[in-house]
Amino acid sequence: MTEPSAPTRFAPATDPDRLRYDLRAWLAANTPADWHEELRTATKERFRAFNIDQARKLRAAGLLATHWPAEHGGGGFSFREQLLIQEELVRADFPQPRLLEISLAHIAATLIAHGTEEQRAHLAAILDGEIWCQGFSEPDAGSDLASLRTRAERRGDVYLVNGQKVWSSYADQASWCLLLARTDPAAPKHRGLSLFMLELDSPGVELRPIRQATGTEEFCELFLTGVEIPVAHRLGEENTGWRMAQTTLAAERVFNTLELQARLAVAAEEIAAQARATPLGGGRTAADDTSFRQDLAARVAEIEVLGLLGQHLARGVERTGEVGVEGSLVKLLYSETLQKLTGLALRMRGMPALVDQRREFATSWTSGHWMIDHLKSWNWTIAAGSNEIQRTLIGERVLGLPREPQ
Amino acid sequence: MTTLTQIEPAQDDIREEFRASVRGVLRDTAPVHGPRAVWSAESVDADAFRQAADLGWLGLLVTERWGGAGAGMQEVVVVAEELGAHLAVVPFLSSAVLTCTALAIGGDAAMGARWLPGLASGQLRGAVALTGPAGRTDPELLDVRAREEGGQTVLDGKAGFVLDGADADLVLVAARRTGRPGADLYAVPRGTPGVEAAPQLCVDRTRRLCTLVLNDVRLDASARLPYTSEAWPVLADRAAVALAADAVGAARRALDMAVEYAKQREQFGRPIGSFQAIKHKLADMYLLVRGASLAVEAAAAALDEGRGARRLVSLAGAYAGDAAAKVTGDAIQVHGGIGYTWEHDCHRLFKRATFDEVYLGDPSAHRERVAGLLLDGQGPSTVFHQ
Ligand SMILES: Cc1cc2nc3c(=O)[nH]c(=O)nc-3n(C[C@H](O)[C@H](O)[C@H](O)COP(=O)(O)OP(=O)(O)OC[C@H]3O[C@@H](n4cnc5c(N)ncnc54)[C@H](O)[C@@H]3O)c2cc1C
Repeated sequence: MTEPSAPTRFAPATDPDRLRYDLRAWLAANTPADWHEELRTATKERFRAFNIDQARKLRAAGLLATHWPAEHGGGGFSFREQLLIQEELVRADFPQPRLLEISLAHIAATLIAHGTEEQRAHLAAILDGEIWCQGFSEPDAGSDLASLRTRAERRGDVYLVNGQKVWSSYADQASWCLLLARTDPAAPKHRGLSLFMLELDSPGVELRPIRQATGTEEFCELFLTGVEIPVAHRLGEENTGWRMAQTTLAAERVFNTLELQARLAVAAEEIAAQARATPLGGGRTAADDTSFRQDLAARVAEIEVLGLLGQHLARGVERTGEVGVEGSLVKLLYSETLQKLTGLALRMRGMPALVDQRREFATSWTSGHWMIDHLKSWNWTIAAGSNEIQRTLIGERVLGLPREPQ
Repeated sequence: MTTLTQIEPAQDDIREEFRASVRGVLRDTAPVHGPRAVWSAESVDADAFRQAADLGWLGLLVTERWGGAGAGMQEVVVVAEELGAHLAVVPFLSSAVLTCTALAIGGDAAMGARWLPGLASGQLRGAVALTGPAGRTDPELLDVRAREEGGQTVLDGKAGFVLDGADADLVLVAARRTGRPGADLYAVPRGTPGVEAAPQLCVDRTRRLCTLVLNDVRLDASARLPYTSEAWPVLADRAAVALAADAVGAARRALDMAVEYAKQREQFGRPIGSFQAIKHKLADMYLLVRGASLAVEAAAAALDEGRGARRLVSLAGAYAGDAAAKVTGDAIQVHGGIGYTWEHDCHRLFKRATFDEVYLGDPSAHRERVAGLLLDGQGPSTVFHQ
């Protein structure tokens, strides 16, 4: 058989077997070698350039933004095709442009659903590598996000913004920020918030990176002092920010899960391979250890269920545009499976997993540095609505239980 | 302040006084709050180490004959728990527990006379190299080999994850001899030609690990500890209990911090500790810390009194390892975003507890031993499987 020649651009409506076959050829030719090692010691600038480079490659092949409608420059692929593409990218260990995650998912969805014609111009910029961050949380407004205090006061054609944001991931790499701020302090707390597009090099924006438990600087504090945001950069109507933030973002999360699930599945295979190569003495390997086998099998079942749940919910989103309250299930299951799986991997490997590889950057949550991956899983159990909050939501909104005292 | 010579075993109030004095010392000398190095291991808390030496903690397991306190594991776990709680960087486990035990039980009088007084007083520091590149203690996974040549012993190979080994005055290296089961320990003094140490940066920065590469290292025939086989089970059990105690200390501190935070931090207009999700989590954490602490004390007492220790040691190892992992992880969760920052001690406690759990064996090995005792009427005699 001759080597297949990779197509240069993928399009929907190809036969799935053909699509898979072509993708594999493209990935074999386009996945950079040694990128793990390169990113390990990369500077922030280099990491950023690498991300943009990867995004360009995907874009040229029609593989960036596979779930956006074609009219906005997306792939327009069917749901099944998107799944297939994600799976192949993950299996080939193709480094995805993580810095563009928020741009491609959350920002794009918000712009497509609520943006003006002018605002949607950012969609094209995002395809060209425009990086966005999310400025929601504040020091005193985490779980109780709706109590946030950053003020945006209307002054003619601009809003004057003052306040402080925190934990904004990769804000120091971004040029734009999706900002949630209070426009009506007199209204009930959920009804006085608006969403803005904040250009980060505006005067009055100050940024301070914060070092994470992993040793690397990934999130930032954002100080906003007399920052002017043009009224044209407000998304949707004034004081409707909360609802937009809840619906659009929750729906997006479901699509993210599809990639994350594929990665977990691949990680479980990687852990199995490592177990076979981890000697226990007596001619046995970790793969012979009954308790490890049982644990790994339980995790694999969770990963499968997560896939089924994610697909089920994503189909619902395609039909109705909303994920509904069951989105909390996906978040709980993903984060806790990730936490248990990485903990299992680190204990199976033992001391070698505790040697710090001093990685400045990784592009996935299952990088194979299991101790750091394990620690990072707390990012998932804390952020985007902590798991405690998700459980309360499931109890109250799915099961109809009486509400907690507020 | 209570000094060790005043300690009489099995006197609870005296031990509590001892604990208070250990705590007091570490509170003043160990906490290295402030900017800490990101990509290097923390250096030894020199003041804490000096105090530990002056107060006799380093000689707890050494008999009075060699200048030690002649105390036991019940005192060791008091110190270990406080070291864990204070995230102290003091070569206690490596030198005072493992090296002193190995020499006291596996060595002979000449070795004792040569090393134990210095180790007990803190003038010398010892380390043990019990694992190879796989980081496990099974003899067949060791890489270092010993052979006899012209009346000398020659060591070759690589030891991994040697705690405090880079600047130790003495490293006891486990090596296999061709054609013999098990492994022996060899005394390798600092400066021996052919020994090279390379640091291994541990995710837990409070642990200073290294690999030791031994290349044609020639030692006197007397370098082999003559009673190594007697030392193995004692070494294994003491290591397990001391590590479990350190983990309990880290867990206790994480719990204290989480409780404090839950009382102060407000969301939705109320302290987060008023939410049942948090309150119940903290109650569970408390149960785990109390239980683990009692299990460790019981195991230490059994080791000191020489009764039923195998079972209690493994129960403590299994329970405390799991408990500390759960408690230190939950403490991060209770703290939310702030608990995920480098400045905060949450991650240090979590990493320290993880190290304690994984080093020289893990809870699954302990559970296996308990299951063996329960189901088969007997189990492997030590968790080291030596
Ligand atoms: C790695 C990381 C990245 C992040 N990235 C971003 C980002 O890019 N942009 C952004 O805006 N934010 C980001 N965040 C912030 C994140 O969304 C918040 O940390 C999260 O909402 C929790 O808020 P908090 O940290 O203030 O914790 P708190 O709200 O103070 O919570 C502390 C603890 O109390 C519990 N709790 C609080 N209220 C209740 C309740 N009613 N019932 C039961 N339990 C409760 C929580 O579950 C948690 O365990 C990030 C966080 C992390 C850790």
